[in-house]
Amino acid sequence: MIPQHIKQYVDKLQLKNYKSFYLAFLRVVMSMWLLKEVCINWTSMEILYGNSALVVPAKNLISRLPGGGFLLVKNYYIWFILGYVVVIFMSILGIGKWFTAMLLFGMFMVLQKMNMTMLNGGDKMAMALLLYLIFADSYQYFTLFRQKRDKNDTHKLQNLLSNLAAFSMMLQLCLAYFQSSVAKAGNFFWLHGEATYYALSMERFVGTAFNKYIVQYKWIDYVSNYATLSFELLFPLLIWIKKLRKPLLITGLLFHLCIYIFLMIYGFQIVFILIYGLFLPNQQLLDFAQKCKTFFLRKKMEVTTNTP
Amino acid sequence: MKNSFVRILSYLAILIFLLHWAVAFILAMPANYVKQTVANHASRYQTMFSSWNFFTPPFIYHNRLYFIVRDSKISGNKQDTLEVLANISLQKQIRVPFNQRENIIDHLVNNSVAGLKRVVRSYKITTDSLAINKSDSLTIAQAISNAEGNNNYKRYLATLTNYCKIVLQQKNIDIIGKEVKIVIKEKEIRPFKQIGDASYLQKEILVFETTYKPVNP
Repeated sequence: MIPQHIKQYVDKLQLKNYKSFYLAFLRVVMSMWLLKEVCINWTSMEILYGNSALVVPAKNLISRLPGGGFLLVKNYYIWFILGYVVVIFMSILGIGKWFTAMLLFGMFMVLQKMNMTMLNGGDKMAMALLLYLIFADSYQYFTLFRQKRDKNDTHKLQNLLSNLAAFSMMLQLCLAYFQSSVAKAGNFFWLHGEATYYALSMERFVGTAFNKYIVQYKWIDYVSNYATLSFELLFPLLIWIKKLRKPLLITGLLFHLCIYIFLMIYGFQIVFILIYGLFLPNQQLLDFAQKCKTFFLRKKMEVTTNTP
Repeated sequence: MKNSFVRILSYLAILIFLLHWAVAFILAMPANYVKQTVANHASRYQTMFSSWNFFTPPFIYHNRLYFIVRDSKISGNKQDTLEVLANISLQKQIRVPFNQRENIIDHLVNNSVAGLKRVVRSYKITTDSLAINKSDSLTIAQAISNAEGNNNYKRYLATLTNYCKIVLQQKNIDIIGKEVKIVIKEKEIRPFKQIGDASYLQKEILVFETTYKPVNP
């Protein structure tokens, strides 16, 4: 009933986890990023989540929970945050696997819902990544306890889900760029090359003292405007071509670095750049990791032998 | 698990994957009939997966938020006018890159201002057709009175009032017996065509104002 080529495709997806290394790396780095967010927000926790929180949250599913939902979390927010930190550590160490991934996604969502006005595109992307990570098998590397992997049928399903999750993360990035470029292409300011002038002039986003000098040169405004538009439009189409992949990823890296420096939008860029690694082959990343490991081991040996 | 069961689950997973991405891509398309129909049934889905418009449209103005404070008991009414958003941006720039606290305040206040403007503007559009020959202030007052029952309006205004209390405390202004009027204006960024014109006067346009209300009701 099911055509042969679809069967073959499903078999290929079940065969192995094609992104096993980078998914594990992504789990660890995403968790560390969440931990970093907790640390740098530590002095602002009370105004974000406590009883003296500035923002009056919207009514949603969480506020309808028994005990008042938000009110409950607000009253005991410090315990909630400590629990969140424990779950982050469990995720870094690969303890609890899918259950931990689900818990982390749920807790991250509660914190987001409590402060919807704080969110930017990076938080939205982080939410999507955490959701996809629930389905991904990111436990073949960087775990505290190495698990024996049986070659049974369940393993085949795990591989398939993991590959679909990794592919979803890549598609999510492409969709974000694509939709943004389509919206830009229909906007007067982006079409006429004026948009980056306004973005760089916004008081809220003036990241450096150079911004006001840079925007004075119209040619810089035109180049940065059309370069942004072209990059966002072409990335989702050309990233699938092997030869163009590396130049595109390097361009993307520079693009996000510029936003990071000149527009002071930090977390957003890190989350987007983290997805880039999924476009690289697993073996290439494993080789690179091996080279790094050898380099550091050699350095360690040198230090040990030079010590009197 | 048996092989046939795994196979069924595998096909089911692929089906869900295809459905998810079909919906996500439809919602990411420019406005059309299919997108509208899907969006009506999956608005939250759109917010989570298909709502990416970085700096589109770009902001062509800076927001200005004024707290105008007066004593409710003293007649003659000396007022203190405090503008807060320019100062938040300045603090954020001074402390770069270690400006997370300033960044948080910036997001909390600016996004509440943007939300409030959005709600009032939506009511302004519905009343605009009836507002021929009325002053801006009058049209805004009418839009605000229509928006007052809106939950989002109440939420954003309460957030700004909370922030007003913090600002007054920071400035050592006693909040007891004080009334505050919240005013939002848009200060134009010098237009692209006028880049070199230093004499260009950037206009400030009134977009929102409340009546005086007690800071601590």
